[in-house]
Amino acid sequence: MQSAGTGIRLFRSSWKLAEKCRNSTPALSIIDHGETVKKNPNILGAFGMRSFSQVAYSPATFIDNEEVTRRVMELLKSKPFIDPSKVSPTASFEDLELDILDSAELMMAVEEEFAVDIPNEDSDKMATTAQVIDYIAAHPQAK
Amino acid sequence: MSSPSRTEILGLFRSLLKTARKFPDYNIREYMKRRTIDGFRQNSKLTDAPSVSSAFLDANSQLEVAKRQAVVYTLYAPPIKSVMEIKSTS
Repeated sequence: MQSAGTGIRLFRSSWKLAEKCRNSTPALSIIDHGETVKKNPNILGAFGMRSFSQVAYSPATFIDNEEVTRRVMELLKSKPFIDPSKVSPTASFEDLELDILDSAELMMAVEEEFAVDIPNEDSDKMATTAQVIDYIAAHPQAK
Repeated sequence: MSSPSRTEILGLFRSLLKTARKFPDYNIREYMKRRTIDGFRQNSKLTDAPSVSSAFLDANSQLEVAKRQAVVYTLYAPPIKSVMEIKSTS
């Protein structure tokens, strides 16, 4: 019973993947930045479908540095536990008097603002505003 | 029962905030965020291991509850958004 359910779910997900492959066009247009190339997992093979040899391209959208800086500054200034006069692209979290909970809260707000998911290890390493800006600017899925 | 490490506590804090995001209801989202921040800040002053452990376990059970409720709320999400979520076009 369990396996039937998983089977159906796998089928559905592979069907959606197949749809994506059919509908996506390889990006021949002007490419400014690198592309993230996703290879199809071989679920399709398991169901006797021919596994598609084309790969699904998703254009990597990097936000430029000035915009990231501007948005991060605004975010920092809007936080009640941060003094807006101390906010600058070179300020460290210590300068802003952020304790560990404040830093965690700030990283969550950054995640929401740029619609990314930052893993815990990366979040823990952030100690200055500049690091945050660099991380987001280098993140391919940031919006 | 050993007391939780710093990373575990931080991880729990983040999980609670991430779960808060999943609620479709604005009020619950904001409350959960406020409550976790206030709760963790209050308990940050605890020093003895047993009370730290019990606070940690408490928060963990709340996280479980919140995860389940997030699922239930998304199933029955109200179609009308709260007025606080209307983006102003000024």
